[in-house]
Amino acid sequence: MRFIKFIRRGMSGRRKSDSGQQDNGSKNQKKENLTANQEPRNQDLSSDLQTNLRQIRAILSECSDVIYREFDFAQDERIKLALVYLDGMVDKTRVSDQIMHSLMLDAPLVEQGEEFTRTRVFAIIKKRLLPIQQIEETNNLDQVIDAVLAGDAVLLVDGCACAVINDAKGWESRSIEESQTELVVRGPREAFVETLRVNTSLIRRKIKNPNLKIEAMKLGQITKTDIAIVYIKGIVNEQVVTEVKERLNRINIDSILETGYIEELVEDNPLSPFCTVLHTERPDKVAAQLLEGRVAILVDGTPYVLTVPLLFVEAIQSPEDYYERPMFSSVMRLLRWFSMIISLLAPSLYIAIITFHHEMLPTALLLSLAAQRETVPFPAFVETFMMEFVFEILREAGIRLPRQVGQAVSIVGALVIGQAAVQAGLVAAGTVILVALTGIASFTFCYYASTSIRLLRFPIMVLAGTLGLYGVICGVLAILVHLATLRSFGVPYLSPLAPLNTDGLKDVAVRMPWWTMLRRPRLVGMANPQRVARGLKPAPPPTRGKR
Amino acid sequence: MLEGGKISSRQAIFLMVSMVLPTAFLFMAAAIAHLAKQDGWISLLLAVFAALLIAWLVVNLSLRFPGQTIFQFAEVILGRWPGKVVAFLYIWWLIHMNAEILRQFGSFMVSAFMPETPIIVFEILVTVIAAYAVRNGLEVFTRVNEILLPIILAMVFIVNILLVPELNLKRLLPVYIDNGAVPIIKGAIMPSVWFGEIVVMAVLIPYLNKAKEAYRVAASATLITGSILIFSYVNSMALYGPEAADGWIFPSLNKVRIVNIANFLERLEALIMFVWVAGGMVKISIFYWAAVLGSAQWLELKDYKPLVLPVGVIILALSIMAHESILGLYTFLATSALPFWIVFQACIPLLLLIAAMLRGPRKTRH
Amino acid sequence: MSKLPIWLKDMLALTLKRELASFMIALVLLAFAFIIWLEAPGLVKKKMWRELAAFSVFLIIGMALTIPQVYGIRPFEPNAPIETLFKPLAELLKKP
Repeated sequence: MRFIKFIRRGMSGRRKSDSGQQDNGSKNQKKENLTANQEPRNQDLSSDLQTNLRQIRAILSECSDVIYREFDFAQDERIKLALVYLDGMVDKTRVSDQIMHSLMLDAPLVEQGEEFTRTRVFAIIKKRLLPIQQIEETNNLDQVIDAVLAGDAVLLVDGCACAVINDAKGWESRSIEESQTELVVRGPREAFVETLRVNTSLIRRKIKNPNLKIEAMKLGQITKTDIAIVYIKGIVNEQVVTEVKERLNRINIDSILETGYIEELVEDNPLSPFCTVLHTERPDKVAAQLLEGRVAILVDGTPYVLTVPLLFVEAIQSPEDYYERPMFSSVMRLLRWFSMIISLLAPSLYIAIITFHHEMLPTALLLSLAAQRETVPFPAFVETFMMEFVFEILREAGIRLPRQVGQAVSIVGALVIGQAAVQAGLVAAGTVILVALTGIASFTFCYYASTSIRLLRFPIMVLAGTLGLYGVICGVLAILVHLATLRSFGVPYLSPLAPLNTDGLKDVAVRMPWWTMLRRPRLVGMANPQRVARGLKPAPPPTRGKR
Repeated sequence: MLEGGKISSRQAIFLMVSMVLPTAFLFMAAAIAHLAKQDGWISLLLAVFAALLIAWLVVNLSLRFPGQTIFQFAEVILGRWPGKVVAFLYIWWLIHMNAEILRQFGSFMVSAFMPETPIIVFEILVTVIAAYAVRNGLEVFTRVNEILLPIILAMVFIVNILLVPELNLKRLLPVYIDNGAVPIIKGAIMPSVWFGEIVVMAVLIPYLNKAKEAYRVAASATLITGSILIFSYVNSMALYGPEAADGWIFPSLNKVRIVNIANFLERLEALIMFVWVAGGMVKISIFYWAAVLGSAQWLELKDYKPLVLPVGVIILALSIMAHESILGLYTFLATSALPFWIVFQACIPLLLLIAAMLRGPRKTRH
Repeated sequence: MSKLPIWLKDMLALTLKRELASFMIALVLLAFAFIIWLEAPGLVKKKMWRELAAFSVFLIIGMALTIPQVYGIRPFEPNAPIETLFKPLAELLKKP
């Protein structure tokens, strides 16, 4: 229970200060206007079709992709209709087959002698003549414009101050492909795409439960990007959900082009080198996070999904750990922890030992290192720092490069920088090995953590170059203290290590079998802790007599 | 309340162990060996017993004033101004203590690892990290300690286990006969004073989740620390014999230098350095926090964070000017410091307890 | 058993000499300025005058202890009174 208090305290404290800020903000400037147009319109539709069209044309002037289709109503040709939609944003077959066809061509309805009066025509169209899944009625001009821009087809009826918004969204989009950045050997391969609806469906397909809630909102005053907040009611900590909504509602920005925008605006510690919000493009990972009691934030237009709260230990957890056999996964996890240490500390330990503490090395190793370094004109610190720098350049080039020239960079990198530099005596072979190892080790754990580790490697190298091992240890301690100050949506970042939770340790350095991980991670999924029934350890059936 | 954090009993035990262990682990063995020779473990046992008494005294006193630290309940017991004086003395003691710890820290780094670097470099760096931790509150360095202590203990354990092939238990003989009671008792004074640092519980108890478990916290912390130190002491004795151990300032470090596994893992000093820097940082943080919190409560401030850096500067300055050399530090620790600390660890708490008992049930004045 | 990089050693050796005390003083003052910059604005903004006063007093004590030491003067012996008070008692304990 004390852990619950932990969370509550963290949050209530923050909320207080947040609302304080909001008050200040609202006093000074009432939700700043960041849209392109200066004054907000708030206009209703008129009952005259031509007036409406003129107004829409005025607002959407110089937008060559808007299509205005005017036609007569098949039931009664005195009634004029108009359809407004964006070319390329709507599904053309749907517009022609399901909207225009039924309104223009279908035989008149036999309505027991009743007349098509102008007053009833709107209701009849809505009820009987639009065989389309989702329609909405509006009398507000802004809403009509927004709907057109979002990819809906809007039907205007002469004589009515109303419009029907037909859901006809259908644009070209990437199909679901294999994840490019988070690969697994065993496990589902699909990854999120750029369309929000497809992404929510990918999650829904994994969790077929009415408690999976998908709340929608729009952010970005100009881009009006669709956002979805996804969580499982009954597992999630309700306070985290309200906290997420509060922080999202506070965002007032012109555009949201990627989840990164949101991540930076909702983080607990924006100035930390460490990520406190997870981003992933794997639906299975998001589903697992939701099932542990986390909240996911989906943004239209990007395959990356955010989940909160994030714990530090998740950096070495791969979805595959839970699909592979636990013993193997555990060893891999230990390997990843070790790689993390290598990737953070190997160069600085090398610098410290070569510069200050040679006597810590066995004599044979020391001699071989000294022989290699004989021709090297730089001190160990400069040499290693330089090589790390070069490696980072190669890596960055490797990412940005057009595919066709990728080959060239790897040849240049491997041959010129590796072999030639050693042969020329500019760099010791040991340094090259070390830098390569450091670089490769940083790929074993999650990418978002490797970015922070890469960043922190350099200051620690400086400390090692000036103060030796003492500097390295101090650097590590400073990082540790910093990690201990972090919270992600109220949850201490280092949990379950600190505050220590022995139950949570089953999923940190090792991955225990599923039949032992009975509870969800504490502090995250404590609203509903039990997830696996007791006594599931499989055993062979008792033998009955002789076979 | 000034400090918003609350810590669990386990976290408190961890903190109290980290508070005593690192300096004791390095500095104590030589001092005990000087007096009690191979019977030093008996001294340590006596010291654990004495420390339990101190712990009982402090916890009993603190629990009479729930939610109040020693800086606050001193006023309740003695009245406003005498209480303020006692509280001020304690703040001074904590700052002074911290300066001494910092000095020990720097001296060890200089004399054992980097003799050419000025001591101030080591002290500044560790103070800055401790200040960062303290400024973020009790919970933060508690959590840091929760991660560091198991690593520290594992390293201490590993070092001692690796030495097992070199041990000769005959060096522990004869027990008692050639020493007699007096050296053993005298040898117990220094460790009991170091264990007596548990008096910081008087500041910590209001921030425990379950103040009722304070007795358990203090007792288990003392017992854990005691057993680790006895284990390590016996190990040192069996390794060197009393004469050699007496001659070195840091027997634990020399122990590590002996370790040699398969001609590869030769000198594990890096381990000792890690234990020392990490443990020292936590220890400094605890005293630092207590001093800053005390100052803020003494001045009745709303927040203690603004005082963190200035107090850090004072601690640094004091630690530099406290002693001319490591020898001065060592003599001070072995002589004047002992009675000085006993006053603050046992005498004043005892007087306060008696006064509180005489005052009787007026304990809930606030 | 270990050696510092030459440039650092030289710099430290120089700074520790009296001639470069002015350089050290600049460093120390810079550190104090940094501390003030870190703490004071927040306190002023929140109108915590009492805290600001306490902060200043502690910082002035800190300065009074630090700056003389840069010039190699120990302002006072913090342990002298303790030693005069407790030395006799301590000597008793020390003898084996």
